[in-house]
Amino acid sequence: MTAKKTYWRSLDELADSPDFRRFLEREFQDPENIPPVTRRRFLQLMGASIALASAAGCRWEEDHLVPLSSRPEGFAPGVPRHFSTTWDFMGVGQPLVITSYDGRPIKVEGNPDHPMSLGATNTFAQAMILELYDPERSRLVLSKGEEKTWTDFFRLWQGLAKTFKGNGGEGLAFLGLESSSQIAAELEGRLKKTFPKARFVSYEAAGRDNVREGARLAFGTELEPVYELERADIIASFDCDLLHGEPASVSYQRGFARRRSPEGAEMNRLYAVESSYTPTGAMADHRLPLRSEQVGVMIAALEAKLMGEALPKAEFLADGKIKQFLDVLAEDLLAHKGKAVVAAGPQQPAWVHAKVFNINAKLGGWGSTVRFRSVPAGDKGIKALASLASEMKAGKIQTLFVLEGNPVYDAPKDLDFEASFAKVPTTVHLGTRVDETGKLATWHLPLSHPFESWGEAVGADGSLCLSQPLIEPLYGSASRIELLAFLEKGSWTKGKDLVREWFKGRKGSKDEDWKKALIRGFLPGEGFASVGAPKRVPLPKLGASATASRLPAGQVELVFGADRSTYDGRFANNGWLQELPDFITKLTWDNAAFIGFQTAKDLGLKNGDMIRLSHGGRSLELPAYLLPGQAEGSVFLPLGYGRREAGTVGGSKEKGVEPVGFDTNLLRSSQAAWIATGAKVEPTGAHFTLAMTQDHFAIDAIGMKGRREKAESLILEADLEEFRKDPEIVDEESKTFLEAPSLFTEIEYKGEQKWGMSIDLAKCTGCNACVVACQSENNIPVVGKEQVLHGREMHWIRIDRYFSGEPEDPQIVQQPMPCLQCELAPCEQVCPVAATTHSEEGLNDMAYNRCIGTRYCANNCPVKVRRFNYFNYFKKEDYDESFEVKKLIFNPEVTIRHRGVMEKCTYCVQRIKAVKIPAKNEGRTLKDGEIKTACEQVCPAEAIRFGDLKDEGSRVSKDHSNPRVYELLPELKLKARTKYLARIRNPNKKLG
Amino acid sequence: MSNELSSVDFLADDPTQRAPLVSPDLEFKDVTETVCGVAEKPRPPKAWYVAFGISLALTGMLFSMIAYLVITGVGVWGNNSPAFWGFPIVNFVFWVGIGHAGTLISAILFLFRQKWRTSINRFAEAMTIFAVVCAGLFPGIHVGRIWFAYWLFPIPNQMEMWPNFRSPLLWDVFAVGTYATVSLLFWYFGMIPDLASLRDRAKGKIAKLLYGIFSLGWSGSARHWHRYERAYLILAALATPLVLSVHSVVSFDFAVAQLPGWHSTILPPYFVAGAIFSGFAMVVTLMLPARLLFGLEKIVTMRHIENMNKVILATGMMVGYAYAMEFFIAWYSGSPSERFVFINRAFGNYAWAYWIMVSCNVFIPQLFWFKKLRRNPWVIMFVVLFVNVGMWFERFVIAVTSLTRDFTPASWGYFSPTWIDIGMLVGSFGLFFTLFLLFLRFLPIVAISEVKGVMPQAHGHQDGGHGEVKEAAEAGASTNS
Repeated sequence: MTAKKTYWRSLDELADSPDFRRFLEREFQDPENIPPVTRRRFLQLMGASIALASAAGCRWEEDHLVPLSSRPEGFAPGVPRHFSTTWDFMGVGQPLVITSYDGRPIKVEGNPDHPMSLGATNTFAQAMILELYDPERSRLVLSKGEEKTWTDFFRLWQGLAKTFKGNGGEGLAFLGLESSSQIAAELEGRLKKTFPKARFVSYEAAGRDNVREGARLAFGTELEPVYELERADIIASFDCDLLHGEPASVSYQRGFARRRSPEGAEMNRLYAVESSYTPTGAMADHRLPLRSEQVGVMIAALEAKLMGEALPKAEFLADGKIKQFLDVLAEDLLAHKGKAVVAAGPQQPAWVHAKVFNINAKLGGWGSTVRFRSVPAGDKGIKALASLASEMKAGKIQTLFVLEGNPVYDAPKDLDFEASFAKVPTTVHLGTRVDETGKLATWHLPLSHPFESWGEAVGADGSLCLSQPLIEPLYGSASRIELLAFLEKGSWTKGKDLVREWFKGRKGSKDEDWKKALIRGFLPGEGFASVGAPKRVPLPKLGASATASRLPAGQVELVFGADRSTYDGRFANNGWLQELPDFITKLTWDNAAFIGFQTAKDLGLKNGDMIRLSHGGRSLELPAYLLPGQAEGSVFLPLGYGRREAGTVGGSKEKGVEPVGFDTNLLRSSQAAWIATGAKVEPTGAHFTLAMTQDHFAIDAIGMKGRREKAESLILEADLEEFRKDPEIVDEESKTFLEAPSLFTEIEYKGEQKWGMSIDLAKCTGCNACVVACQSENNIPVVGKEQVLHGREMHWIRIDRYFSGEPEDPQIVQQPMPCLQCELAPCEQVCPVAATTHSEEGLNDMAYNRCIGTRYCANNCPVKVRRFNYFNYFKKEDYDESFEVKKLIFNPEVTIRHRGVMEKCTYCVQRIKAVKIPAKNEGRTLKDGEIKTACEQVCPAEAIRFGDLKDEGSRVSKDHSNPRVYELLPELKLKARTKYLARIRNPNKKLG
Repeated sequence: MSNELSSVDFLADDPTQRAPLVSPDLEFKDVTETVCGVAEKPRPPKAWYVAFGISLALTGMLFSMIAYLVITGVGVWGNNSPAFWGFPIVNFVFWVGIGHAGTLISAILFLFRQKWRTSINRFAEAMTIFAVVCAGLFPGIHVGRIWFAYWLFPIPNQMEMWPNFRSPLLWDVFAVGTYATVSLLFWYFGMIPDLASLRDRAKGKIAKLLYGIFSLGWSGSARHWHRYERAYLILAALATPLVLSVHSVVSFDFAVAQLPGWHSTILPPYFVAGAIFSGFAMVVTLMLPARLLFGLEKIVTMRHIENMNKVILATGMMVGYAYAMEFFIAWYSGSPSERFVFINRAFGNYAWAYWIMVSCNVFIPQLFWFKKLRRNPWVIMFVVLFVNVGMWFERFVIAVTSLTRDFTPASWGYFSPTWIDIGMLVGSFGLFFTLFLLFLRFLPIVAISEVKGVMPQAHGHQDGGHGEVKEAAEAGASTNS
């Protein structure tokens, strides 16, 4: 075992300062700083109703509605069906498989056949199903707030088209989110021919402009790097959330995790240099906190080091720790030529990316660990948006189409986009919501959700992925390609026909091929792009702050980035994501300015204290979150909050709902869209209540010490070398406890199977996908910020996160915590009505309709995974008409829990039965891996394994006899069926 | 104390002579007149109206809050995760504890022939009943689905489901149920001769009818007295183990769970001592003003109060010993979880609650070492009120500190009550006092026949020489004269 580490949870507690003591006193005198419980809020959370006479009236006429009185062939009511489809996100197609009950999609999975998914997804894909059934989605064609029809819009376009055909498209512009769709590109190409002077711009607030620009500098063409982390021995991530924030992160996680256990292939080593703690940083064997503006200099230094040149002149590089880090990293990279990956994040400027490409070329991972995908041409990013905005401002644009996206909200504020937008005589917004842009546009057209439309997208590996609708559009909406086709042809073409036409051009017109492709979900595409050697770019002139070790007092750099919950704001009305505790901060329902320990101390800040940030003549007040490991002098500002027109979940001016979080776009300018240096920070003296699911309350010295001791016994970890020497993870005392005879007559488990689970802490990257997947699979309610503040969040699986080490540069360990399914379950004994009991197969079952809600079981649960319905979180009468839509999301295999009952993880018992019963009918035995729990299925890192412990060959049986396996709280002799595999780190000895 | 009484020194501590148990200048008739007079007065004192008005308003608030709770859900309380139990369970244990003194005074002191109990036992028993009513309310409304709370009872049903007999909550149902039943029987049974006195003296028709029904045709015949005394003795014998069992079982709610700070064998004796402690404090709290208000100073003398104060001092020390022993065991066990929980209790985030508890329960009662202080009504009131507060906090500390910081630090939390929590606690006092004030107004608040039995006149000769039963019978017979 490793030397004992000091675990703690947040900075506040570590600072046993007089200030902090005063703060504690304040807190304890007035424990009521929590807003009172109001029910109003949570009832709104999944969206409130929009009073409409009839939503059905505006549905499209379709030709294949299924009358259930005569059952079509191959369709059995109540039997789930799975369909492959694709969702275009972050510029690539995310391959998915959707589970559908009776024509009602309810659950998203990754496409197991696609190499970029292998069955896994991220949190956003999981939450897309909630987007689909959001009752606040736009339902009508609107013009200046008035209800219109598509016919009205068609007439409008007929008029406009005539004009623009006359002038060659002068004054016509199209602005949209980035799309990888080839059909869209083809249609746009044709539109360009018809309207040669029209502008076509794509913009994403959290886009990848810098990466593409970097590729242009290095290769002369726009490219996206795609890494093959499974082949990499050494990975260096520079200000990059490689495992969570990249378009292909799902496959990165898988590849990375496959090399993270000491049993498998040689363990990889991850170095991270970053300003803010990311999940990637939490997995790193060595992490160096560094201001984002310095990360580029660090890259330049690394490049120089690898090329054997003199290092750039920078004061901070002389720092002993940084110097050593650089030396060791360079040496390690050189020692693993061909098996090394260096990556930089999208907030780093283009020249940094160009240098990273050069480093990767130098390291020889070309075509093996580092590959490239070509990016469709076109005007993209902030620069293109800026030039369009200036044209709009100058009155040169007569008609603007916004094809998805919300530029009024998320355009850099110096562009004054909102005012320019209002100047354009005709603005047409196509979107799933009447958002900030939709409200301001003269016309709004409802956009179909990706699960309602036909389409295609290019995967991160260049494959051609097909989208097919899982459901008829709920409201009379159209897809982007349908609208583009109409604009191009002047007549309506169905999405299916467009896709079929496109398919014909690639694979021919055989029905069989078409069906096969739809079932599989994708076609092999062009694959990766072949690239030559990158051009080396010089180091630009560095500002004084970029080289300085320390910034002057009151000066900070601001770093912007997509939020891990709301992304760029498009998920702001998604209750699942809003309530998802961020892995690092455990923050729900709000964003905050992440600020370093020392910086906060200098400013006299505590968690939740309001600060005023000013940059470029604009300022913003928002709460500070003291993030351990945040680089000093750097403030991270997550985008995607402070939405004024998101809906009742994320904030809506119209409905009187305050925005959730703070709109950090207000500080963003087109010149400093990612890293803004020379910003000022000052405390305002006000305080804001942030809702965290961990460390919500300030902790005293005794609590800290207690937690440290407990965390040490909960999470076992070792360094690879120590582990190789002494693979005995579990200490003697724990073994004695476990071997001690039980005072009870233990239950004999006579079932055909003994279900068990293993969670590999060496692999888990804390990506939260399991949390959302579980929420989706098990109909888990969203409770709202007030309830989270009261500690009543309902997640069946949570990810516990502990810090260890110094607050300026700590390590993070994480532990996913579902119900452990103890054989000697403490909860079962104390339930007075026997509502929780054991099944023969060892499941700790919960009979909801027997539970009377004494909550004794939860008190006696040592890991507190039981969740109680303090209120009726799914109360029909409060939902009125909108509930008709919302209820479609429920998994029919899982009971909706009433108020007053306890609930908890069931090992997805419905999934077990769904496989076991047919297998029994067929008279066959179950195969290992045939049953997958929702958390296991979604896990990109393959950290969770579920199976039969009676089957000695099963993966879970093997895990349970792995030397790394251990049981939680051995002194309680729970005999838990869920066991953990100790975390193994692979540090470089030279970095001590 | 009135000047008249102070001339009679029945507080003298002359060891050669047994001090009189009630004021020696009392006659049998005086006892009957004093006690029955309370119920027979056409109007109670003004203070009674004021107190009753306030109590009734608070009771109304309590039941409105319960209605709100039932309609809305138990989330209106501050309970959360990890503190799944909060004020309702704390209140439950608090009230059950209060309910202890009655049975102890009635049954155990009766069996031990502690005759001084006679002046206060009716009072204490009534308090027990009402405290148990308040206690019983909380577990009932505490459950998430109140409409299914009856599943806690072993009723044969179509689901063919029995309750889980391994759960301490089920034991609670039996323990508290039995205790409430036996206490009620004991109280009512002891009251029958006195109810007959009220019946015989009653002038109004309704009073005559009601007292007549509830006195069950008592005529004071020797046969009645014989049966009565036998039954009373049997009930006392039945009730005695309950005094120990009910709070032991209540303590199992905590002791059987495996949470550090709950999972401890010291809990049953510690809870019983604490219950007696809090129960006596509550009796004194009620007795001090009541004896003044209803002119009972001669029957409930300062000696009675002082005796109770001695019990408070003794049980307070036991509780203090238990607090200290918990720490010792936590250290001696070598279990890090145990150690943490106790250090955390005393010095962690709930240290304020812990030190309120220790101050009220251990430090303040030490004043009773001094005779002067334990006979001074103001000091007594001060001490017993703090003991009441301290004992409520004891349950709060036990329930909440262990829950909020258990095995997994990631799920640690903090419990803050809502206004409903506080309102229900206050409302439960309202309910308690409403019932108690009704008792004071309409029922014999002192056991007339029993007090007469311990007066010197009942013995005929100062040296005694008669058996207990006969003495009591004589005393009782005279009540009807």
